[in-house]
Amino acid sequence: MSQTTNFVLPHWIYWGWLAIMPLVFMWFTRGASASKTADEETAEKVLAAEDPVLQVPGNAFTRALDWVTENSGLFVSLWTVNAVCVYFYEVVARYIFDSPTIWAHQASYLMFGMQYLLAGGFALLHGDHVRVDVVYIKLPMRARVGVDIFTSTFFFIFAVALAGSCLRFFTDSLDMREVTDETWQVQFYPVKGMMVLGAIFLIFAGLSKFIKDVRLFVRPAGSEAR
Amino acid sequence: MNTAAASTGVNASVAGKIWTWIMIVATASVVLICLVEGVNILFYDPYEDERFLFSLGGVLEETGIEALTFLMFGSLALLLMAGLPMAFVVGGLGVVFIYLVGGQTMVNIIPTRIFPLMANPDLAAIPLFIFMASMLERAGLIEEMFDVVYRWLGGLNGGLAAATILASTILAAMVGVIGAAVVTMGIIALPAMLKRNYDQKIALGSIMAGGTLGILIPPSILAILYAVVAQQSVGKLYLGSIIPGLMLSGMYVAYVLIRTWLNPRLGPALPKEERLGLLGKFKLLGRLIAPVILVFLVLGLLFGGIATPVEAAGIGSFGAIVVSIMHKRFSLQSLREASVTTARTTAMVLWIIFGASIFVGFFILQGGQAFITESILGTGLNAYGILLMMMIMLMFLGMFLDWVGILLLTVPIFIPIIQSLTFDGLFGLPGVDSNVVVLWFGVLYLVNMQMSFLSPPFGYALFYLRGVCPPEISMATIFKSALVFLLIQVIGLFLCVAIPGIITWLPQITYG
Repeated sequence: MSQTTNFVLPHWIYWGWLAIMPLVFMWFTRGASASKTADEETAEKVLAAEDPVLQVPGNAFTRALDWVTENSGLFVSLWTVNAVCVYFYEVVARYIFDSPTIWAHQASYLMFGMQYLLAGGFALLHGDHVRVDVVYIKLPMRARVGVDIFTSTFFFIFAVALAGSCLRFFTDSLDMREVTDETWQVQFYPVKGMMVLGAIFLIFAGLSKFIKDVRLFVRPAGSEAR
Repeated sequence: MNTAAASTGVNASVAGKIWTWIMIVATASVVLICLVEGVNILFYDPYEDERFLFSLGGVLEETGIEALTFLMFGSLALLLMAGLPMAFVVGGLGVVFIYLVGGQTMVNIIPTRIFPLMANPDLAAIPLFIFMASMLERAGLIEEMFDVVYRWLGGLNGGLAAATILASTILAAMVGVIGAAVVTMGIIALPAMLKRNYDQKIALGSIMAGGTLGILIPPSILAILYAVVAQQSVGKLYLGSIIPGLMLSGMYVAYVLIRTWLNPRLGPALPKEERLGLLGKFKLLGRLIAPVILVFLVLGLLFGGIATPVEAAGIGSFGAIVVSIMHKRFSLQSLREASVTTARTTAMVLWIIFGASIFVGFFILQGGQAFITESILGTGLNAYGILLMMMIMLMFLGMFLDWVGILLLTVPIFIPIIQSLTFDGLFGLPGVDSNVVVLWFGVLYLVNMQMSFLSPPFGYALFYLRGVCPPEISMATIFKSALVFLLIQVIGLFLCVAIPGIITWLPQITYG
């Protein structure tokens, strides 16, 4: 079989598609009401009983942070659909048309790599990051908030160190105009750039939670109503 | 009465004030240290001796590995108990200890640990399998499968419970996670069983035990992670876990059927008029065609060597979308929701991996691996004694920690120890070939982790089920009903240890 006629996804289409496809998808599904499955609802109920911050409305600043987190999270989530189609295409191309691609795998796993990093803050906003609740769940609400404020220092140490060290990692790669070793040779530095962006989104989500925690701690919910 | 209430209020507020101040002082001191270190990092040259006020960078440089081990894992336990999400505990402590031992220049190793995981081709199977499960759930497949199996088995005593387990087993062959199976079965199978006066414990236990099979029976996402961490082939692990998975499923069914056969009141059969004739039963099978094709497609592609696990996952997801179109449940909205669930779950899993790889990677770099190996081998136990110790440790961790965390914390440390041991077999039974020891341990590990979902006090299955139970069923009942199935699980685990062929037979005849 002639390998020369194989379709190779141009790099600019790859990056352009990743930037535009989620926006189009979000536009078509705008305004649609959320339909949760039973286990998602259950998970949310379990989580909400655990962390008091998840039901706090917050102020204008945290709402702005949450808006960024929510929409960036939705944006990167929608990439998954591409990977499903691309892997399907790859197997069909390989076995039915006998012409494997050089780009399908790399395009997909790099996309997922970026998604993992960028969705970290999104998961934090919804309380998805699991914790050990042996002691935590037994504490009174205010104590949980207080402990959260203390432990958030370690969160910020991690997130800030990540952002700082990744920034250097990214600029090194950018200076070289690094591309992948494999045949497709897609640019590597945007992927590394997403590590910095992901760390920043994580800081946003963490900051929002921290502010809500402090507000709850200073003025516990329910005391106003009394 | 008023004064009593008032005085407890005063006491509580005094204690509250003390705790408030402790919290504020502790937080402020950590923040202060961080600020000073921040100034140091930003404005002072790390290769000069000059520092702003003080610097803790490199203070632990001379500390021995014994002390470091206690410091690292001690602080890990403390912070975990304080309820900070696991991903940030390991990540944060990883950064802190890297800084304390190696100073700021060493902190730059962080991205070099995370990046290879981001660009790992095998890990892409995790989001894809989660997506597939989420799509199938939205297609209403779980309800349908239970419905069919239960009409087939309805005439037996305990038939509903057995149907729950069997339907969960089929489901487990399609998805690699547990949440959906436990919750959906809790919503459809539990009311059905309670309505027919099933024993609560048998009803609850069969839902939880069946639901957690998803983590063991291929395609499981835990197996993918183990394969990546232990550098094994995903396909071999999947093959190895088929027989143990089916064996456990069979043991659950056997338990339920024997109990209800001995005492039919625990799980009465359907009344005669509600049963279906043979013809009706075969007609029903038509509704199972789509899911069964999907199972054979995914597993067939995988084991036939036609597609890699990632590709099989991609095709399975595509098939799941087709199934949901066939069931007329498809919409752009459902695609969007499934994607969001996928991204959130995957991010949760992957961030623990990122954090833990920093923490454990650093620990191993400092010689922690060698230290632990020496300490364990130094106990003078034989190979099976050490294995027993590891299994007990995993079970213990499973009570409190998330499986991803356990995997990342223990497997990189256990694998070299397991590799250095020889397992000659128990009770005169044949032992384990040295070339499949890591694979064998991997499946033992999967079976063990399945227990962590069931084990009180913090098994996920227990909490998921609690979320959908009728209010009159207490948490204590759920705990108790899990215990019997945990015991079955321990027996299954023991069988896998004593007769390694249960695990190694299929991979060995397939791969040689």
